[in-house]
Amino acid sequence: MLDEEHVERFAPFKGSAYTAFFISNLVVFLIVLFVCVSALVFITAITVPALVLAPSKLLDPVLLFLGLVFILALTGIIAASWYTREFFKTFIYEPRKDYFFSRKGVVTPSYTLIPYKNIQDIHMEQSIYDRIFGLWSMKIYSATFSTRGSDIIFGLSKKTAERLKTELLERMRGVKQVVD
Amino acid sequence: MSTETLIERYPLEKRKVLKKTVQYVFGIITGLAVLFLFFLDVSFTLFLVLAVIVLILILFVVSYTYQWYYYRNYFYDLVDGKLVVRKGVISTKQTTVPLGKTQDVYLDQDIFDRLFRLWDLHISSASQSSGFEAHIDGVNEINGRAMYNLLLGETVSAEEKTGVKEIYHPSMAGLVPMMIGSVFMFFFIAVFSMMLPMVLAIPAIIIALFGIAALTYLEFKSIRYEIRADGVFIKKGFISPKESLVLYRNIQDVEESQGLIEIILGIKTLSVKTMTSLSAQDSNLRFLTHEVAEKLREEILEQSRKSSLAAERETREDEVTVEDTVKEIEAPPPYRNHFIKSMIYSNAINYGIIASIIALVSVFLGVFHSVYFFGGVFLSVGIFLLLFIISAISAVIVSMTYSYSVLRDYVAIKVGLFYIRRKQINYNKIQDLVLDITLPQSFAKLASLKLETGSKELVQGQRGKSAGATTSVSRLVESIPELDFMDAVNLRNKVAKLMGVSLQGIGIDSLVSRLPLESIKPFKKTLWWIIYLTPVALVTCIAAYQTDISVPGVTVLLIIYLVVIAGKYVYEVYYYRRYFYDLNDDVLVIRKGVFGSREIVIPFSKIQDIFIDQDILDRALNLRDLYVSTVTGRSILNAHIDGVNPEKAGKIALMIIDRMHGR
Repeated sequence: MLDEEHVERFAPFKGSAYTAFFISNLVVFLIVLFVCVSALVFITAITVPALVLAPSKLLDPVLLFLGLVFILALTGIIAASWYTREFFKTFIYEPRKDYFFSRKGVVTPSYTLIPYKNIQDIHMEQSIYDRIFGLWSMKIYSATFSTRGSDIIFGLSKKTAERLKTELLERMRGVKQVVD
Repeated sequence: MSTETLIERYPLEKRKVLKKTVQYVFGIITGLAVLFLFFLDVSFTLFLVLAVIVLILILFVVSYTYQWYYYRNYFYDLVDGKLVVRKGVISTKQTTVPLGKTQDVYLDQDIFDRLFRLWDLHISSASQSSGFEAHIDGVNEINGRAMYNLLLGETVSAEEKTGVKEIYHPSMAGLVPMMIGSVFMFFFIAVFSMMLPMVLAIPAIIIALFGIAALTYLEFKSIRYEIRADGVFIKKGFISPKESLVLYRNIQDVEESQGLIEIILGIKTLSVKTMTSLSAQDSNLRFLTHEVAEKLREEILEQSRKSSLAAERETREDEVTVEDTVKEIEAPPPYRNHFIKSMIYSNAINYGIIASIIALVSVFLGVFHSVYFFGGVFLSVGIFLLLFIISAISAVIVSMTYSYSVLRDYVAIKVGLFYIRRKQINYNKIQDLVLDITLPQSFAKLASLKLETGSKELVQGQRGKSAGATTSVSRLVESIPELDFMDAVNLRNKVAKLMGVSLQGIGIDSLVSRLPLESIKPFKKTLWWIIYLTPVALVTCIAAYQTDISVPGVTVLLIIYLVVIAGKYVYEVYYYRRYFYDLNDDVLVIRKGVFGSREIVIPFSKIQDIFIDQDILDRALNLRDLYVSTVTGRSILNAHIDGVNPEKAGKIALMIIDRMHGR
């Protein structure tokens, strides 16, 4: 229902956002894959020692290792590129009539609705990693105590970020503000 | 308005670069000195000394360069009533704070700032991050003050221009606790002086004694409080001065506290608390005599009420103002708190269970030997009595020291024996009302009412600027505990009425009956347990099978596993059936719990944002969790509706948004 209201994107994400997100995902995926595979090998080595520890007559261990690395890397790249594409396809942020809306997440998406009158301050940030790709992030804070009190929109070009900021400030001014 | 930016008009001082560098290098040198003197056993060769000097020089140059770039990139400006601060060399951060959102403003100096005659200006909104990101550091005094006034001028409306109404100084009795604090510093220095030869040690100690006494006196003398037209102004600090202004409209509650020494001296501390984490440590008015504290308290509460009412009236012009409705209602009589009754019930249930388990085991073991039987019975009775006595004493103390009053304008709660706290909460600052019934309370027909304002508390040992403060989750000073159930409901309704919200229509054709939770929810909750428990059960079964208890052992384990899962499912079904949520034009009400219950009432005007999420099982079963958050800590725990389908979640979210905008 919240998705259906969606009409059009505020602005497309910057092209380099895909690359940046892909690389950071790839690193994470590779680490996860590596940990999983090593755990699997470790468990196999304990339960069926003959399989791992005995020198294989069919396969050269070096070849086996390289093959494993290749398969891992390939899986990682495929998973990361799929995830990146899906992520940006489903990542929605939109200033709506009364509230700022965002939807984020591929497998388990989450939705945040912050009414304009409750927005406290807006942060435009560029981390070192962002800087390499020329990207900007926006953080929109409400006064809540939870970490969810902020909404983070990343992968924006400077122009889009500025436009979003102006848009939000404009809409914030439209409503009278009371903080109790 | 001129086209000059704020930074052009009130520039940062160039010496800030030097100050930051010196501060940094000084830190490094201190670290190195400690390392060499105490931890590394090295002889000082010429080479080593040269190496250290070169290292420090390199550090100096590197850090100077960095700081110079930092200084160059620093930018701040005031555009259409919004303060923009941008800084960072490699990574950039730009913060935009609309001045209408400003909570409090601080002007301060640390010891290095003082040496370099620089000032820091802090502007803090209610968000978690602005306290440490929106500050301008390194301006001279004239520019600092000019900006301080400029920002405040924009913050407060024209009719409440800054003007000092009254000035207060702390009571002279306050010197005593300050001197006591300084004694530790004196001892520290004295112990170090003892290491020196006698000729030097005695004068050093004497100088330290007088020096510290003089310093403490100057620190004490520097404290000043002012009641201004727009807020409470606090000035303190001789070595590192700090000036802060806490605006009336942002004060969430006022708290009086008295430690043991303060009780003896007859003085009090008054804390004016806002939603910022900075306020948790810097907005204390210390060392006030009882009369001054009372006068200040009433004045501050009155001003705070007036200014937030004025702001509220601006937004809802056509409606009846809260002030008018408040006057019609007499202060309700306080209902009795049944601390002793609650203590007896909770003892009987909590410790009774523990004691009877021990007793059962000892009866079982008594079959083998009478020593087990008597020992066990003795132990269980002993434990029960011991815990009973401890809790009885604390219940008696609480019932003697706790008191609350529901007045026309605010609720006051007083608690404590050696550390007395009295909190005053204006009705319009109450964020949510929670009616809490624990399992023993449900037997005793008692309930606790909790009020929360969202003012920040300092967390012990975390006196930082970022994560140092938190909102309290469950504190006696923000609750009216152990009331008779009907009294608690009545009191809750009265407080709600005084807050200006009505609970009319809650429970009639409720939201939970119109948009109910999905019936698959209990299954989903149980599924998580199955996922977590099955591997554990499997591993235990395999392990048990390999020991000599084998088959009977495994059977028993399997039965336990099945009973636990079945029990969880039954619990979740009850939880699901008892789940209640409803809304009217003013409030959202959510109630849940199987053993006892917890009912939270949140006025729509206090809701900050709405959040919908799901975990992986939710996704598989098409469920969503809807969270509603206010500025308090407790609302995160309680204010959510979990287990509705996406369509309903969206509907409810939009309903809340509509109510928040008065539709």
